[in-house]
Amino acid sequence: MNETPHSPEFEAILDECLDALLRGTVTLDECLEHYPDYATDLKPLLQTGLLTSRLKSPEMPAARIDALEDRLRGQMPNLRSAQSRVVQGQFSSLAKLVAMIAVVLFFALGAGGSVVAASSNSLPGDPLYGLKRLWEQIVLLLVPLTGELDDLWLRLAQTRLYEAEQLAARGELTDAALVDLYESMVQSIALADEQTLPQVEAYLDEVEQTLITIAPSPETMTQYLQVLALSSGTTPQVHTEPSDQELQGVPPTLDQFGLTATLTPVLTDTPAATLTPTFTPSVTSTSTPRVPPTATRTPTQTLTVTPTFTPSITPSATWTPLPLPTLNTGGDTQPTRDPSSGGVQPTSTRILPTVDATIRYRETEQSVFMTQTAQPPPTATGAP
Amino acid sequence: MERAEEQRLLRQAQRGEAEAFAQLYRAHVQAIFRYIAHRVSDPPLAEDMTADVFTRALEAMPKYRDQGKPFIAWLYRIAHARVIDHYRRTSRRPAASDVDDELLPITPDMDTAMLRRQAARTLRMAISGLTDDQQQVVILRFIEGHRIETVAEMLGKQPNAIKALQFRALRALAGRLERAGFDVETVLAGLS
Repeated sequence: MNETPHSPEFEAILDECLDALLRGTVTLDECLEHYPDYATDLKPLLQTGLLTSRLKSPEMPAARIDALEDRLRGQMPNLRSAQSRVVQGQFSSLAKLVAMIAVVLFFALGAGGSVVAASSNSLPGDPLYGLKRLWEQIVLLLVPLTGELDDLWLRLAQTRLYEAEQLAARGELTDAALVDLYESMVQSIALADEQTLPQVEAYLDEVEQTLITIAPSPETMTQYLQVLALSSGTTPQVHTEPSDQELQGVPPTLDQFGLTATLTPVLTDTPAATLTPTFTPSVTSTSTPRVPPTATRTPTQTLTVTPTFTPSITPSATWTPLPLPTLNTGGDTQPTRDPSSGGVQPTSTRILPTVDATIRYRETEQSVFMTQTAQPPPTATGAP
Repeated sequence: MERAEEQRLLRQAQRGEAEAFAQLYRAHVQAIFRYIAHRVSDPPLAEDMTADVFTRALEAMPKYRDQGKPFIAWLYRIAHARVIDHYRRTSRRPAASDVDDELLPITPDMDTAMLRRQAARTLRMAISGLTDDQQQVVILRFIEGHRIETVAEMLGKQPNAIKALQFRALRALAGRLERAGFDVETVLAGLS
């Protein structure tokens, strides 16, 4: 076969003729007659095209088509699930990214993000304070994705303490600010783990010192304590285990700073440790699951009560409901606000390890504080 | 299938509606099978590869973006990639020289049936010796009967480029058939 000329014009003529031939509107001879100058070169190409178009095509058997359709239909539910997982995965990744950015901004800029940084130093009552709290809520919603909830709550608790301090300096400290402080304190204790425990302990010491400092008078201090008890209706009390007969019927009254905090042992038919801790708990973790309760009273009026108890989530009749958080060394509990009492109690939806708490209530010349050594709480009643 | 109808089915299929994808499948499965069968000359293998094409299409439906081209153009691209991958993995692609060696001459004493069979075999062998682009154009243009503009749309090329490919493909085929003693005019006369 001779070399056929290659030009756009020839290619166009070839295509025009092929189109007409394949549609059956012209014959081969008619096409060649129409382009006599190219007839020699066109003929073998048009014949080859025509022959190729007559090539019988294989067909896929109907049974195979149906079988494949069934197979594809069977894959569709899995595909839909996979699509959903992909979307969820993408959303999850995006949410995590957003959360990380939010957390980074939070820690970098204090309590505020880039836009609300100006509000980070605002105090309750300030125009920007609402923005500051809104930003905190957003970060709280996102931060569980990053696993830094304990750090965040500790930071928030420190912020609330700072705010309380600043408000006190202005003479504007309110009950609401103390309640906020208390709630953040509860969350910090509840979420503390081995890594954050020292920081939480330091924070609690700081809270204690701050409240002592900012209390303008013993009466105010009492008020603060009452507010921190979240209006539980009781004066902050420590109910000790009745195993120590020396304590029975001896409710020491503490009047340091004019504080009227009574230590009232509660006697019950069944020995049950009841804690109504007062004021600022400092926390130390212990690996000892149970400590035999001992309570001694020294002539110096330093009372050390070390009850072993495992409180239940729902306080029994022999317990005085307490708003004080328990330290969750397992990091597995989230106290929730009890709307009836205004207190914060461990939620029953999360299983907490047993608690071994040691409460030491000491009266010194400088302060009154309680040390609570806690391990996860809920069920079981303590036995002497 | 009308373009508007196809677009509606595509939207439904992307939402995971099985019936919509099934309709698209039924509309195009034979064309995809024919394309693959012409490329691999092995019907059972072509069936498996057709199944693979639609499985991949189903999996990729969420990513499919309607760019104004027929849905089958997307399927052809998947099928083409599958064919290329097949030859790459099996290294069984026939070389042009091998094809020429196997082309059997058409002799005048062949009866019509034998002539047809022999012509078909020879022609298939000659097509399989073309380049990938040329094979695509030959199959879509002469076997599937699409116009140049449609083929260009399917392959993502300009119509003039397809015309040039068509010319080179026919020239190559005619040359091989001639070298094999294949008288196209005689065969066409026998087919008519």
